[in-house]
Amino acid sequence: MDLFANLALGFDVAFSLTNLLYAFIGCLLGTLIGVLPGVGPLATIAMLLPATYALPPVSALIMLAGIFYGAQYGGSTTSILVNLPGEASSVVTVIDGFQMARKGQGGRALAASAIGSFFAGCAGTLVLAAFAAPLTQLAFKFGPAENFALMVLGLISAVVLASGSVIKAIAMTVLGLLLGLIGTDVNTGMTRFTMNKPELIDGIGFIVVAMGIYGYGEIINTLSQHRSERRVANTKISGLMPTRQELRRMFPAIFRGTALGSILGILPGSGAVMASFAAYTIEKKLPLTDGEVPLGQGNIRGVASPEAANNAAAQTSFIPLLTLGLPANAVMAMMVGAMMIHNIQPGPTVITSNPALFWGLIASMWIGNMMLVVLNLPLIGIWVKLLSVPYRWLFPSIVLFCAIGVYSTNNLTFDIWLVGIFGVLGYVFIKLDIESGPLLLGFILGPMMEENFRRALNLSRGNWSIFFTQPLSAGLLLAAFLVLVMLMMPAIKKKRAETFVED
Amino acid sequence: MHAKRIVSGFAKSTAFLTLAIGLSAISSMAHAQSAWPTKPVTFVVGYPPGGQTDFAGRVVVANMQKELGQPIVIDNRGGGGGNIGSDIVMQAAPDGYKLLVGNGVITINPHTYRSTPMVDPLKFTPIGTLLTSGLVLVVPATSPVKDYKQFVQYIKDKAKTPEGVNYGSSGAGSLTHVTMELLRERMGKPEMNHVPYKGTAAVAVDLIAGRVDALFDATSVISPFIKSGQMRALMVTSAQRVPALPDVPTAAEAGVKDFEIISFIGLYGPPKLPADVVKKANSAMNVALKDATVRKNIIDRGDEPGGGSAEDLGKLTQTHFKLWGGIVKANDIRVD
Amino acid sequence: MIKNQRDFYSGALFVLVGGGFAVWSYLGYRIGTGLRMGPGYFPFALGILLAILGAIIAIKAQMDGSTGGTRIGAVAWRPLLLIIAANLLFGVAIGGLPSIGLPPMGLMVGIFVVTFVASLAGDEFQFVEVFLVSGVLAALSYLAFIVVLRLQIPVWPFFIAE
Repeated sequence: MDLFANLALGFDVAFSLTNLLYAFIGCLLGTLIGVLPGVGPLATIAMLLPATYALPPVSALIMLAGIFYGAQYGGSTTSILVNLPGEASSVVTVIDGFQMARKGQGGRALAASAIGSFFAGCAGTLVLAAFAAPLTQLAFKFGPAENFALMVLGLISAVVLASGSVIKAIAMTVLGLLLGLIGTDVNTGMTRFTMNKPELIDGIGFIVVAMGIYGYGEIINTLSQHRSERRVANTKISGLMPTRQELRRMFPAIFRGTALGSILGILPGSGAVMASFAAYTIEKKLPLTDGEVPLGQGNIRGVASPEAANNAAAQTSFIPLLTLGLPANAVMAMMVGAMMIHNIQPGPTVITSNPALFWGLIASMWIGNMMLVVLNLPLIGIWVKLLSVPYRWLFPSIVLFCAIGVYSTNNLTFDIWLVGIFGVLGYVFIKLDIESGPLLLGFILGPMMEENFRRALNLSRGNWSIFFTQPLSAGLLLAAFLVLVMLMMPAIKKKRAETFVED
Repeated sequence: MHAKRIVSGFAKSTAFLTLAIGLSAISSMAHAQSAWPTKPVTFVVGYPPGGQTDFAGRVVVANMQKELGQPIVIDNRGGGGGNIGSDIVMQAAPDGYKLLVGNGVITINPHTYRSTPMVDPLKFTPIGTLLTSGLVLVVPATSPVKDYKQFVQYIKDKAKTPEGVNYGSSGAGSLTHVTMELLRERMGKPEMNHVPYKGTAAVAVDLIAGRVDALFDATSVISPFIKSGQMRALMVTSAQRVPALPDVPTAAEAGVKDFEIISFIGLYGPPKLPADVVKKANSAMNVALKDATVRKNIIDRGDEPGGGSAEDLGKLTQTHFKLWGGIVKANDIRVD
Repeated sequence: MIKNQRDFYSGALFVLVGGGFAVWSYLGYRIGTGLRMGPGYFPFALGILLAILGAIIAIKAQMDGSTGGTRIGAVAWRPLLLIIAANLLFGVAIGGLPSIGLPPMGLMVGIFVVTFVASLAGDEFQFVEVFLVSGVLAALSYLAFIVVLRLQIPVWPFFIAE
């Protein structure tokens, strides 16, 4: 078997003591950075890049990849414990993760996230190793029309996220789309809704919206409740590890999430975000077993599956990078920079011209994932203890870290004024009983959706049939239509209502 | 900087300060100026970490701070098409402690943005060129076009078909966009439809898949696709051939006269930066750019190390500013 | 008489924001046609859609029979104002207010301001305790953001930093 010979070569490279050390440093740093909202892997990798010039290329990339995973994992920690999604792909983790934390099951949620991530990481690495070459062609099949169709499907599925009224969820998605359009219109380069403020030319940052709506909104709402009603700092922490029954429910969910994430991760742009949203949607649609709490109220499947999806996508997003030199996101773009500095041209030739590096990196991804579990399972106890800190100490700290995180992404005080507005908005949404998940997804996908929609029409000279004559795009739009019909069907409506009443 | 003004204003209005203290303050300030730098220097980058501009700043920092004897910190002020960072340095005091790592896009922005005020690049004090990079004209590997001559004919023919010609760019109003408009002018203005993308990765996919017909982009990002045989290069816009693509002719060799366009990143100071600071910063920058590892890092990335005098950067800025002003006006390219 | 207050006001909010975006797009940007879209096309269409959705939500709220648990209830002005104020004051501390000539006071001052103002939003404010929390946060932030991550944030007030 070629695959195993190749993997053996990879492990040979990655399993040196120094490389293990770099993997460890990377994961540790990444986890710590991920826990701080706003201070993303991007800034950290940029900062450490010059320091890696002196390292051998494999070690440098191993460390950078470790930061990337670590940050992703650390981001879920804050999502679960304090309702702060540090990046787009953890928005759904917040929904059930934070509910679990409020019930004193924060430890279990963190463990589910760690186990799910680890499994998905392993599977994603295998997918990467086995299918990197054939899968690269998939990226070329996705032109503007196909990208648009995929996003329509994603947005319609997002409506399922909300447990309340369908129409409110659709409205929130549209509101998110509109907010996402603030800034530069890619198709003409014109600035829209910026009120001539240069700070708005590149649009509103995700961190600003997420910290305002989730972070500040939640704090204000919690403080408005009487002390006895607050369920944030539940002192009764029931177990750090999932129960046997929870494990049984969790594993199929992890499988589903992993499969989805592995596929969607290959697509440039929105892969990881779409993966976690889609994974959650599927879990929500599946019937509940006896005694299981519905999703949205602290179901462990709602944490395990999206976390698995997002980590699997993180692995497979290396495929377009390594085989085509096409970065799927800004962090990946940074990795290209790192490779070029070490005189490696990513692209179709990297597998043959530099097998030690390619397979070494793949093996190190697996090691990085293992490192994360080893590092994080013991940390769970410490993180959960953080919650037993009195709330009157905790909430000013969260306000502070949100503010620092928002400021430090671009060093702009303007972003701090903006996050204030979104804080008020977040509280308004809670008061009006509107869920924010669909807004965030709309916000992320909005600009990309418009961009691809108009680009497709630009390429077809205004001919709308382009969306239906391409088989892939037509298929995705049909799927979106079917989901919409399903949503509108009375039976499901009734079931949603039941879920709502139970709350 | 702001703070200093307030402090000195305070000093002036306070009668209690003795002449001696005042004198010593003045002398220490005078001393500080000639001995620049006496405290850490900030390099403002108008883009988030990770891009070419950020790289240009970071790659010379280690050697420059060794040369200057003070730490240099990179301050990423992304947003506003790079203008937020430019504006910070434009407003900064001319004391040499806030310098701009400026992308050549500053010579395009004032022409394309009409309602959002953009910084005038000619007001900066040029210090020196950090790196340059040529552009390369590519078509999909599946295209029948083999050289520039065939390209012109192909475009002219296809422009007349109902399908038409689509060319990609990495953004409306970007260097890759205005360069193609300039070439279109040289080809006798055939009908060409502009399809803007956000960055190179997305447009590269559509070019390889044949959804767009042609593209100009930086050699550093495009050369891997050329080497792998997914794109075909027709010419580079730098004065000399690019080491990474030795077989690709320059524009002049391909038969396009006066088509020397480079993407450049320079170190700039605020207006009225004293000459001694410029001189010292320029020589430190040149020392850093002569270092073998720094050069290697720049060349490996596909760019070319800059260097040269402050006047060189000033000239580069001026000629590009004038060139783009004409192109933008002639083709009515506008961004807002 | 509004039957379902929460839904009614949600609907009204959507109508307002959607309508606003639609009007702004219409007046400010070229809409174009389905064949050649201008920058205003997409936001205009979405704005109208949002306004329609909002109107449906609001009308349905009027017809809704159930009234239990659908009242908005009192607005928690104190936490709302104080948390947002804490955030804004942090911005003022870091960036100053150039419009009135207020210089930046730096991260350390900012941390104390945020902690004190935010803590006032709670119902158990104790000066000494908040002071200690601020101190711990200041030390941790200095270590994490300035020493380790080297973020470019002004740390000390202008009169010390210069």
